[in-house]
Amino acid sequence: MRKLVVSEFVSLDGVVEDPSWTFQFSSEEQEKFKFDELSATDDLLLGQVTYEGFAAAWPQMAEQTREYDAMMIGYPKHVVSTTLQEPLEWS
Amino acid sequence: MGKVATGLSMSLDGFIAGPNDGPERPLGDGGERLFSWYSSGDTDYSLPGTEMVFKVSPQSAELLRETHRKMGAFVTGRRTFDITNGWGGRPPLGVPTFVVTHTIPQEWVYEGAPFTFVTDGVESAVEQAQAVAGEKIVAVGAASIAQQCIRAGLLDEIHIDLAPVLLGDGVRLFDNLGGQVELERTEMVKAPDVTHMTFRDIR
Repeated sequence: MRKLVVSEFVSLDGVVEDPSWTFQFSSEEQEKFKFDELSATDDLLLGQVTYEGFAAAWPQMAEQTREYDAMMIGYPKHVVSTTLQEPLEWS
Repeated sequence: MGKVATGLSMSLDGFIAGPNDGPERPLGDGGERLFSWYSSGDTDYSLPGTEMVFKVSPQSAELLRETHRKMGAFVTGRRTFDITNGWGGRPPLGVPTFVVTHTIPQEWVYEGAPFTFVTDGVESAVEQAQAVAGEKIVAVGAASIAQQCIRAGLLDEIHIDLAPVLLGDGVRLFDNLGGQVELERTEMVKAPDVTHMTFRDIR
């Protein structure tokens, strides 16, 4: 069976909310890490809030993030929600 | 003047002790796990000023030696003092120790123990400790005193021994900070069973 991996941007005091604060800490090393991590990923398992955040943010960034965007679009996504209805806008 | 630094073992989810900590159980439920790296290695490390000998990895031993060599005084809070029963009169490394408290304990029985009780706040305690420590480091802890120092802008360095465990509940190190604090990571040592990280306050 495949592994389930949690990967988070997190501050030293444990905050993960609104990851826009992480951009100032990006580096070549960090980008390579995320790229390799995403390359090794098969599927995404998300909650509704994160899915909706991704659906709003990724299409906006498609120009700057071509390879990432293609990967993000390509993954089968499993969204845990009691209210979302298929078909989903961003998949 | 010497730097002010805090150094604590912390779980990945940010706890420095388990829940229900108190004099009967100083580290709280399950909190010993945070310190298992002190006994899981193959290198002896004798804690200066005590008879305690730890078994740590060579990397951790070198780091502990370096850290303890530089430590000149210790500022702690009344809760930690009570929970440890005043370390039986022998505080960590035997350095001059300043206890921030509202009331000086009257039942104190350890003659000659290197404690000074400070009733006019953490800033005064740090100032007194720095006067004694000279160029050496003033260590502060545990959680509440570290938080008070961060809020007051007194803390220069944060040293974390990150234990690979999620405790789930307990005493959080980074609460009540009063806002965002910019840090720079100045050191990272990957030992087999703990990750040592040092951060500098760059406010």
